[in-house]
Amino acid sequence: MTILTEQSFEGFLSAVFEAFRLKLPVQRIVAENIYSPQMFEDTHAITTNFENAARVWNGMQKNAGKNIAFMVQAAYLSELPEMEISLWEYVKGIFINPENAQNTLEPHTHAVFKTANKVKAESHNIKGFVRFQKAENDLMVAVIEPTYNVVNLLAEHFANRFPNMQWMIIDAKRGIGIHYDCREVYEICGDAAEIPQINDEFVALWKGYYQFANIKERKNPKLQRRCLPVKYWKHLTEMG
Amino acid sequence: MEILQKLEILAGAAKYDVSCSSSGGCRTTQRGGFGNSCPAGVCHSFTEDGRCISLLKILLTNVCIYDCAYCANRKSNDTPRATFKVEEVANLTIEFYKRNYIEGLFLSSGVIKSPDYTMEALIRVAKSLREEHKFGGYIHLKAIPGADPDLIALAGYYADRMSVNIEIPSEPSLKMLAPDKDFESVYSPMNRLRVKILEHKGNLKKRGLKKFVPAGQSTQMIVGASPENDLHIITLAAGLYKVQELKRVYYSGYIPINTDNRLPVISQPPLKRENRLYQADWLMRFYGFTHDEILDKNNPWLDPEFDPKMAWALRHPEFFPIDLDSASYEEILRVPGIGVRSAKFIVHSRRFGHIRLEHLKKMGVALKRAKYFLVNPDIPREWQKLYPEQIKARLAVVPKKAVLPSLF
Repeated sequence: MTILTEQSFEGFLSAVFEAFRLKLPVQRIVAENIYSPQMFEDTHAITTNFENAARVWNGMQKNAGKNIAFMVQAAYLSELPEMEISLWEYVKGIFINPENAQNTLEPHTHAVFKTANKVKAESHNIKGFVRFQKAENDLMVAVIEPTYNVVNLLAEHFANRFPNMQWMIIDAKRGIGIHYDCREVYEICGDAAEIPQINDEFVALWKGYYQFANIKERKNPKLQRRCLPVKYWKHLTEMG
Repeated sequence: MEILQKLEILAGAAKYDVSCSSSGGCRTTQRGGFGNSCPAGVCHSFTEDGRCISLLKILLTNVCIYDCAYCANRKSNDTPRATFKVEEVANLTIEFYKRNYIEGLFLSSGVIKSPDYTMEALIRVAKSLREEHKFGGYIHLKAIPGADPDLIALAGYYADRMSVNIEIPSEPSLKMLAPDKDFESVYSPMNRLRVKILEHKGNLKKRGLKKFVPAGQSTQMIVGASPENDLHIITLAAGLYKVQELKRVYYSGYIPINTDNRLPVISQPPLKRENRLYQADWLMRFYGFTHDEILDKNNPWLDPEFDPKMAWALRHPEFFPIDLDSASYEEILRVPGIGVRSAKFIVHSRRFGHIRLEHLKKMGVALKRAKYFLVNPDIPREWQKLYPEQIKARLAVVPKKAVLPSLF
């Protein structure tokens, strides 16, 4: 049976709750908006219920600990199509047999752990690759295009770092973002192209510095690309 | 002089210092200020040489009263000279930081007038950033060899990390290449900082105590500018980790910047040797190896062909094979091809069942190297019975892509 959910973590957790309660024979979990029907397929749509989602979330924390719950969330943010079924098996396992939650010899568990680590690693790297650009009204705007949906994982880091600065980080790939107004972080939808940039003298200084810091005798573009994959170059000030 | 020109001169002169890390700090944002540092550190960009940029690495000035043979800023060199004002450095740091270009400032300097005078200038910059601008980002300050220990201790209250560079790994060579320096001028600030850091750690629970060099000390050695062998270098490094309690020792493959008859003539910087030294360094810091295990009097040089861990394993066939089901974490770490992450994974997972070959592959173990040193039902028995020279021969064979013979 294919379970249809809303495309959000709460939607997914609600689906886990209902499917578990009704003992549904789950074969696939897909977000409704990206679902294309297949022949001979039995579907069941589950609407998002925040109460149920919270129960699953708290239950995971109680049974397997906070780290595991956040790991599940991180793995979900990978948005990989095959991830949802691994997560379903894994979350189900947390409730049926909590001792087994750490057993990485299980293929589903290993997939969840590995994907979660990849998402966490990308969110850490993006913390360095965000480039704020000056916009009007003292706003600083950054555009990113991460492989995984990590923009919300950046909020705390930048809110702590720049408590008195208005900033906005936009994920151009997904059309979502976060905005901080010196008090709180809001989730937003939108396009960075709408925000006009202001001329900034420090851009030239930074581009200069990037060149000056390079040692020509040690040229190693392969290493550079391994540490800083080309997919991120588009939004890096120094590469422009 | 324009800021961009100064930046060109003073960033270009600072780039040969390899220390780049922004890790180990844990400063929280001050009230009304900005900036913090996290223990993991963050890399912000990578230059074409593959090195990371996480700090704005500049000299306060490249004017210097010393004449060290290996240094780009020695007084006998005819290079353009520049000096930053305190405000200029602070402003650049802050504006770069606010755009998330950097994680903080790395400030070094040529020696102007006297070591004390230079150290005071560095302190003024750090003080201005921390107190006037309430900057909470990472600051790495150089301790100038020969400066008053009290001044160096004062700098420690503003910096996250401090470093004094040894540069040349033995005293006779140092005296030959840098006549104005000796080991005493390097070790005395290092030891002073070490004692002060220890005192602070002891008093950690006292409230309101200012942080003192929370990310510890580091140093750097130039490799290949003087005749010392690898055994000498890693023995020195081991001592620095143990006695001076440094966080990092950096190795910098010698790049000929100056022509000087005291220096060797080379066409390529010794990058392979540098790489092997870092591998040996990692073995000492994370794998529980001691320096005399990695190299000894009969083998004073690191093998360019095999990494130091593999070289050790080939010299010690009596230690292997290792059974992953029963061996301790420390023993598993010694298997070539198994790193810290996979070793932890193995110890963690084996509570739930036997570890098979497919698990090892998934964990990222380099089976190409590890397979000769493990007992596992999925690995042929004969592989564990090979002699070191047979393993060497097998490892040396690099499977090349099939090349079709050309017709003409």
